Amino acid sequence: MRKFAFLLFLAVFAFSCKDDESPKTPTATVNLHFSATYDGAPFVLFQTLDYPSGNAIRFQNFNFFASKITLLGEGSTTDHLLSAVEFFDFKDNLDLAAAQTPLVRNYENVPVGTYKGIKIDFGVSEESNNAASGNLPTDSPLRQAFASHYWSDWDSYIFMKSEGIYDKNGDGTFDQNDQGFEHHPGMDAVLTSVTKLKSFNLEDGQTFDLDLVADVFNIYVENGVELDLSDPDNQDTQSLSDLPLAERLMGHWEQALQF
Amino acid sequence: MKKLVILAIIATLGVMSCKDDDNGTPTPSGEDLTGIPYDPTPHELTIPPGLPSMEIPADNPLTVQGIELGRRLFYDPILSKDSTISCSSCHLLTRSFNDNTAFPPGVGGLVGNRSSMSLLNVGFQTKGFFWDGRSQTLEDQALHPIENPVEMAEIWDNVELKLRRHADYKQRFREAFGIENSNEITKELAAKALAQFERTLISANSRYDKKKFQQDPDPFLLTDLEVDGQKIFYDDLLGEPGAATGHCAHCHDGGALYSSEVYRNNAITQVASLSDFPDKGLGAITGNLTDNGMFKSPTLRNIALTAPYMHNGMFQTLEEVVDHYVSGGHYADNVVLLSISPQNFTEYDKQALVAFLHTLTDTSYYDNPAFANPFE
Repeated sequence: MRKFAFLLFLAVFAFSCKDDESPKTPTATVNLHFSATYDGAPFVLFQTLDYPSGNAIRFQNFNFFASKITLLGEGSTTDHLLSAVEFFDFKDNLDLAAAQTPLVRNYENVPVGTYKGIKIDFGVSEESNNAASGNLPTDSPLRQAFASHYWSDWDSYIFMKSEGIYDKNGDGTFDQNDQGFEHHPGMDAVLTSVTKLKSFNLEDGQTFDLDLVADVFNIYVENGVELDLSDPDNQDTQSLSDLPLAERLMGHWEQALQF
Repeated sequence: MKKLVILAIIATLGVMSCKDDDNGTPTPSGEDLTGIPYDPTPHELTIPPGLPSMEIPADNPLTVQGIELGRRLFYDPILSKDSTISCSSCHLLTRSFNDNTAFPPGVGGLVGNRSSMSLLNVGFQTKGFFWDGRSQTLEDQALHPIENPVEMAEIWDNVELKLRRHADYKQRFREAFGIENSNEITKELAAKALAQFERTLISANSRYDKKKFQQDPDPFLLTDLEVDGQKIFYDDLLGEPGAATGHCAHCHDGGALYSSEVYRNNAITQVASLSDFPDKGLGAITGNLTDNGMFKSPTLRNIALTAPYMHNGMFQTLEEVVDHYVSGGHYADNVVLLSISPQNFTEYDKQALVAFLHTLTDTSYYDNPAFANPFE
């Protein structure tokens, strides 16, 4: 009887140990690096750049929302949502060194496995556009960029801001005789989902650098044909009448995003 | 010997009675305040439609006692060198917590080179305070005017001494922050109280607030002229050829904030190069050449009450402001040229835009006793 009691004690002890030592779910850390380029070169604000028309162009602001950033699982690996929404602002790209330094977001506890690529919505969801601003968590990118990027008249966030000046008269300088542009596409209709496929593995304990690039040139140029910035219809996206231009620019994220 | 003892007792009693006197000198060891109850009452803000959530620092939660202390400090000239200037001297309740001078006078009548800014809804701001954004929190912002020689011209060490020997403030700091000794009254706590009060200065009851954010069904809330001005303000033209676009909302949206909290060169200063701005604004803070001449876009709430306009008060009327933007102003390499470029506005367009700006006026908070001067 004593032996039985002792064995029972051991069994209980063993079971209790089993609970304490439940295997830890293997996870990795993903560091998402987002850089901006212009035709493959580091993207520097206020720098004079070549536009395919032969005239010069200079950017003053470039930023955008990326939402539902999702790693696409392959085989037995399921899709993993890295982030519901992020705001990437390249306002500090004022010199080459800064432009070569990507914006970084860290995501911990990402399940290990094989992933076949990444899916990103450029812009924010209809639910986010309709959400009461007073309920937004104060650390949310939607709250942080609310003042600058919520366009009340559309009841929508501005999904991307690309602003600058185009050397309309082709004299190689910029002045009041040239043409400013402010592309601020927004509204549910121009939310653009982009999928990029490239297989990679995440292993337990690993820190994985996921490098993404937004090439601004490719926002404006498709198949060698540039957006004609001397055309008044192409200089801003402020009203509903500018929706076709907003769709065109946001549609270019497919070619602008590099992974 | 008896006389000596009596004199000593009288002298001792005299010193002790001075300890509690408003004009007394605080003892090195301060005054024990633990006999005063410390039971702060949390204060919950109600966020009106159209305004975003407000970040309240974890180390400075809103309390009834903290807000009341902040209100008293806000209206009390004790913060200034000669007790002539309070925060409210440049931030008048009936002027949208702003004032009506280009450069409000400080102690001794000295003036600086920038206008004051409205404090309405200031608690919702997240992109820096002052015209140049040099403070990142309200708590930090509140520290600066006291030691600015053209504002209150005082030093915080003196302010702390004045507050530590003030019977009412000793009690209020205890009730708000739980300090145990009067010597624990610091500039940081004073700034926290001021920030708490400022976070309560919420306004959201203009006619346009009611139409846009409160869905007031009154079809006559805005006149046709004001509605046309609204369309110009938000570039909401539905493709009407040749219609005026004000591009105003690029810097003055943010829902009911009417400020996008962006820093822009609004082309009011003619310079040969970006290095030549007499007031570099944001550039003086960041050191970036391309930030020179940039200033924060202020709220347009109650803009009709806060003339003169711009960071340097150079325009006396809203009509002058509109004329400036329609003219295109002065080019510089950091001007966002589409928004600030010559526009083909008719006189009607200008009138409509100014009329719309008047719909952003909210004076309903005038009667809010929680905002009022407690010393009157």
